[in-house]
Amino acid sequence: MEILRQLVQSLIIIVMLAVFLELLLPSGTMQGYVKMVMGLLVVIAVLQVVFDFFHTDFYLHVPKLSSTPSAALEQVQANAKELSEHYQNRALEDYRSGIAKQVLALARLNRELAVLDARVDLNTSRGENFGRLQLIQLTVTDKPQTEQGAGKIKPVEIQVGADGGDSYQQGQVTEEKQQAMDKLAKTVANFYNLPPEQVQVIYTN
Amino acid sequence: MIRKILIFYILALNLLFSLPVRAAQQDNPGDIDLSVLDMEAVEQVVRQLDDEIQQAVPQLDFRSLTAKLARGELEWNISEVFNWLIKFIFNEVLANLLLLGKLVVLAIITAVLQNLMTAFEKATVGKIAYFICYLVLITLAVGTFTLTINIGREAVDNMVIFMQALLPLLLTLLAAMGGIASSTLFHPIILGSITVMGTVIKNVVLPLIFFAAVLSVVNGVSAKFKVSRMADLFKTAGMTILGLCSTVFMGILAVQGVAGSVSDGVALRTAKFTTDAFVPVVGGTLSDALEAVMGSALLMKNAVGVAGVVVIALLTVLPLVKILAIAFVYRLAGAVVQPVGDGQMADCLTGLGNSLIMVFGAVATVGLLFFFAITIVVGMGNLTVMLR
Repeated sequence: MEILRQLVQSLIIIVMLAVFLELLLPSGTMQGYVKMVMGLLVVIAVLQVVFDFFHTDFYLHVPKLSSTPSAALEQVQANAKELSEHYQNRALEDYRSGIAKQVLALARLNRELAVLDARVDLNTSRGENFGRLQLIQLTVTDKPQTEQGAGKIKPVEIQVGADGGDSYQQGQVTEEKQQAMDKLAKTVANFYNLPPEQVQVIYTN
Repeated sequence: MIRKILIFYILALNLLFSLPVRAAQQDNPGDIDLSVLDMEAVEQVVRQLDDEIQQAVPQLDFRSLTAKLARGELEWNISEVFNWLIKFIFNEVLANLLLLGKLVVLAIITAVLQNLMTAFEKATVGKIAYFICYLVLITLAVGTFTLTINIGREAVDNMVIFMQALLPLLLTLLAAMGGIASSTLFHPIILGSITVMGTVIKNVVLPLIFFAAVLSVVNGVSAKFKVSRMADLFKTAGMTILGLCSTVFMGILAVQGVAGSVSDGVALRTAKFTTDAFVPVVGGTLSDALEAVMGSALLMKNAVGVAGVVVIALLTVLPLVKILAIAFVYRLAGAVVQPVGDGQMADCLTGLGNSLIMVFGAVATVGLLFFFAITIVVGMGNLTVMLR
């Protein structure tokens, strides 16, 4: 652009000079000669630029790009990863609460026990098992006695769980209740295609 | 060309203010959580914008604009916008009336001198006086022209700086939604091409238009010595470079974008299939939950994109109105001067007005291309989600 700027500058100077000469010189044949000489000057100015261009070694400098630093790709990718994890956690949370509600609705179909709460644990580690159900924990209690006012049974905590453990508190739960809890755990486990030890039933007051 | 650009702008504004707001109303507005986004860079650029833009839109806050767009709460009225625009144009023309007055008075003085030329003892004295008046007039005109070109350069600069701040944010959102290939492909290409585009327009096209304008003014100085062909050459070179840049820019964006989004779409589809197939019974629920979150992320990305388009429109429209107002003043001065003065002066002023309209075209093209760049990046995300 600098070359072009110089060319335009030269042209302006030549034209101005031509106009001044036109004004200063007496009218007559001289005017024609002046015009021709000035014309030749213009041709020289233009040709000089053209020849300069051909003599350039074509090591063309890239114009300086805008100075504002922009976030690097690595930064963008790191931010994206963080945001993506945020989205995934949110989706998992939605999924977890959705499944918990579903489990609760399913468990409440049971006639013998009142299901108070359902908690779901998921596999959050990346890989083939991502999102799989790891544990379903149900908190149950007795159905409220509305008709005959039968005596309350003492609270019993029962777990059918990963510990293998029957964490039933023997002696506090009747055989009948235990069967009901087993049945409930089995139903839920079958529904979600889980091994029975991944469903825990906790009896509470 | 100008007409095409105007039609594009009207269509773009129409699309801009109709689709996203409706989309926002259909989705759950409570899902939009902008606090997770790091918008500091963009907000900083918006805060540092021209005083005049700040005056025109005093409460311009990028985050709240995005939030309003995402929730469909942006209240705007097309008639109000047009009224405001017409008022702004009118104010700009009024602000330049002083220039118009100076140009017309000088032109009248020159015309009177030309008529009195025969009264001088020697015609040369009259000629010199006329010549000096003409030089004063063109100095004034070229001075204002230079200022206007600088307005155009500043506008291009502002747009490039804003895009450099906005695009990483958009690409982050794109990558977070699964468009990893798109964003990896886009990042260097789009940022590089935007910077190159801005630099070429600012340092090559606008100077070429300026040279053409100066040469067309010089062409009028002497009746015998003409350089109008050289001016035409510069003008043609400028327009050709502008056209080439636009075409290459659009071509690169379109091709890269589609390639990236197809590959991302396939990757997302595979992920969805894997979740559905390998998580027993409830796999569908998980992929549905992921999809719902993706939908809200998509809405957020579109809102950020639309807010970016609004800011780019502001950055483009305000300088464009100024340039147009000054071009109008030149054309008006040319029209007023023609009956009293000689054709030479009227031609010079009209030529400067035409050159300013070319500057208008160049700046509008940059704005339009940046608008397309944002739309393509936003559209790529939509395509990626659509293809999954």
